[in-house]
Amino acid sequence: MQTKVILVLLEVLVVIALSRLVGIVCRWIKQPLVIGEIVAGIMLGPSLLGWLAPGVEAALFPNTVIPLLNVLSQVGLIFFMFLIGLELNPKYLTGKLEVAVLTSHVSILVPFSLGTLLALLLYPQVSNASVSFTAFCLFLGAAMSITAFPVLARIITENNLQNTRLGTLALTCAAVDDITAWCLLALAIAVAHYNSMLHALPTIGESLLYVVFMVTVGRWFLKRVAAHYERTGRLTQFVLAGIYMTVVTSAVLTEVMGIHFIFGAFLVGAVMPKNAGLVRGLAQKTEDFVLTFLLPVFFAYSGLRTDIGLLNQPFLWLLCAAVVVVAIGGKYVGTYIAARVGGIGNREASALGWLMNTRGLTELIVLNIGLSLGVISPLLFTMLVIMALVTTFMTSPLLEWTYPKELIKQDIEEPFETEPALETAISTYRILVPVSNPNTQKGLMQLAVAIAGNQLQRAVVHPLSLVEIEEDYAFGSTPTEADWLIQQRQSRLEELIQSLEPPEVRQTIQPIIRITNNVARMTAEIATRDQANLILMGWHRPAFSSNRLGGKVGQILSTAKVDVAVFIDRGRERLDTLLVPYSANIHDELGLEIALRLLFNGKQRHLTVLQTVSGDQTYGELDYEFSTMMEQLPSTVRERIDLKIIEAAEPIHAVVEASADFDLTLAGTSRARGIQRQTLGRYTDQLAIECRSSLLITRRYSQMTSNLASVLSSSEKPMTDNKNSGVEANESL
Amino acid sequence: MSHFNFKSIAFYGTAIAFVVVLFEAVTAYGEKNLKAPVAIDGSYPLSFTSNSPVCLKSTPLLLNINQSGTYLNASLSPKSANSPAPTTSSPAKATQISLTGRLNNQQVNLLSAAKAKICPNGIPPSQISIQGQVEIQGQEGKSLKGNLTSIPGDNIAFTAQRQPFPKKAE
Repeated sequence: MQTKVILVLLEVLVVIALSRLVGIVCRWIKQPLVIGEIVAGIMLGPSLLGWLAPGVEAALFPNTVIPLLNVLSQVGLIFFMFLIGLELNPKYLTGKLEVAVLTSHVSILVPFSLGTLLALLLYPQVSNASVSFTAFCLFLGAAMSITAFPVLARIITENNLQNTRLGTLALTCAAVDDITAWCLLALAIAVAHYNSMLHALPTIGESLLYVVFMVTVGRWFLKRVAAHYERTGRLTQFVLAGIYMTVVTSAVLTEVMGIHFIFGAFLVGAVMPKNAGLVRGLAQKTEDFVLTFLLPVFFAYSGLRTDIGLLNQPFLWLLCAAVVVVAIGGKYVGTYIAARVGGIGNREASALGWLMNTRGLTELIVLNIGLSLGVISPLLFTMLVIMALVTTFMTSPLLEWTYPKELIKQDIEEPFETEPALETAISTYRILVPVSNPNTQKGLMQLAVAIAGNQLQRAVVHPLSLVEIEEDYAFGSTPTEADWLIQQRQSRLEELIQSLEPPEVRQTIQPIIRITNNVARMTAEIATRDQANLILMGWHRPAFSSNRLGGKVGQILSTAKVDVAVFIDRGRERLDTLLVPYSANIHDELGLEIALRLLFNGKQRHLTVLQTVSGDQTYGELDYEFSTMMEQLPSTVRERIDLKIIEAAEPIHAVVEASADFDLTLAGTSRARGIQRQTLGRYTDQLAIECRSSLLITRRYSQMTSNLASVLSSSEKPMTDNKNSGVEANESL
Repeated sequence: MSHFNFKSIAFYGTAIAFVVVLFEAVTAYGEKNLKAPVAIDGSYPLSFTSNSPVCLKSTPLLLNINQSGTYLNASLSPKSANSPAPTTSSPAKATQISLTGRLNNQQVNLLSAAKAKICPNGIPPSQISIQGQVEIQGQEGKSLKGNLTSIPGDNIAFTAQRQPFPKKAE
């Protein structure tokens, strides 16, 4: 027994590691984590590991320990279904319920009907006489009709669609679909047990009675639990134990009745009063272990039963294609027609059709039950797993193709931010400021508004707060919870904005709050889409890298297609004395341009431009462009600039020493100093450590468009003409 | 109730009625006219009736058949006294000979995926094929009677009694 336990633990180790690894790849290609977990499971089974190294597979997953793995996966499934029920908030059933019920049910009826017809072809081929045609037909129909509410909810949250007309409609449809599909599955299981609709009637009756019992007595009991939580304000282990016992008892009862464990667990979650604090606490306490440890085991167990090698003839691949086409076509056509009848527009109805095709994990649960009951054969199971993978994989790209995010956002029902108007986007100087922690980034925001100012041209600062979703099924990534997180961020950002001085600068600030699973990529995308001129970031020390400017800063630097400045705050509140170490490269020019903007926006500010030369350079080589630019400056600005040229063998030491007398040093990165584009490199790294003032490291994106004179030509024109000047300034950047 | 008008209700009602009628019609037709192949998956310890090689007399063979309708995947392996009985329809393992084939009218036809040897003698590896007829005995009992061919023309007759795989855990 001890050996078996060790082997199971080893299996779990391999499963979790591979799930995470493939999950990262899926995240990278903008796919839900669930795809990665399903694929990881399949990779460990006969389809890949068993095919490449049958000996290794046989040693790692011997038949003797598979039942133990099954027990773990079933426990995981029970608590996962409880979590699904828990997040099924009646709030989702409020938006356009009539259209949603119609769309949802027709989106089940059409694939179910097509599945029924497909059964005529498949039953003689891939089933056997021990399964009645009715049970086979019901199961195939149910498998075709599934929409995975949890996966769909995450796709909607990740695309920031939860407050759009399409998002709310899709969520309501999927919630109705979920409930209906589970009822259909319960019916299919009952019929499969008895191989006859008539003999299954007592089971169906008992199940209905149990549902009534849970909705009345069960809910009454759980309401008392919620009331206890309200009183005490915390979820004790005693209460948690009581709830878990209720989940397990309910699961066992439904299994004994002849449906399945999962329905009992789901019911407890569904009837649980949706007290926000209790649900959040319960989900957070339950989900970590279930989602990271037990659920990957379920995927692995499922993968061990999936053998793509069974599709060893072209005809079988044709059958598989038929299954996929019927599933996709049925769901899409059903949803599209019903939505159109319900008055939904063409494009939205089409997008809804693709969204409802997400089958993911829910499909896998249904298929595993079918295979365990023997209703579907291993060959059909494999075909249906491929169908689940394809339908889940295609959702995000097809959604984007049918209904690009920009179009969907025009339908936002409850806007939480002011989006920049398109016509002003070009004429305005925009600074995007990623703010991860509003409590510690006041200095960064103060610098942003100081650079933006309003003396040169109209300027807007966009503090960007990204709510990061890491886990696909985590409670924190459900639409309602995401909204709650956004509201929290919004209020914290508002506090930060209200703390900025002088008060008039607050009007130039337009926060952007988004959900994402990739902060760096989203930042770069928003910067490009909103035509930001500059990304101004705070310095984050990476946890697992020796590179001082690595981590997310490094990722944004390598992906953003706009100018980037990284601010290292030494806590100096004033920004009156500025130092620019200038060596005539494009990154230094960006530093100088930002310094000039600061000069224009604050009459009290002074700038010192420091040029260091070594023995083989002459002063004349360096200052031609600089002196041309100086001539273009208005005298009110020029008189506040000092040029200082010093000879130094080690420029870095001269800069560090000079920085002691300034509030802010603005230094460009440079390849000439052996600095890498992605990380800013060794020189800047040293400067980040040793610089005695606050430091702003600048990196210009395009090497072709460096032109300091554009800023000056902007300044020569009055603010009333700032549209033209803005265009010139933007063209130059 | 902006869109839940008579048109929607009529559409909804018609759709449900159509699906119920369709399901009834299809299942009635299917139950009456469609015949799925008999379930034969399980373990078959092969008993050789005559002229079997010496090695098979000392180490009898076990044929595990995994069935998906008419499509069969099987494995042939030495049956040792202390080897555990198979508990799942797991795929062929390292020491097994994998076979694929079809079941038509209770006639089993299996062919090895690669060349293999049943006995560790000097004969070079060749494709293994199994042809057999399933005989039904009562409700659950099934037996297989047929020939195992390792080299062309060398048929070894066998009989085997089916031992169903244990019921899979849900």
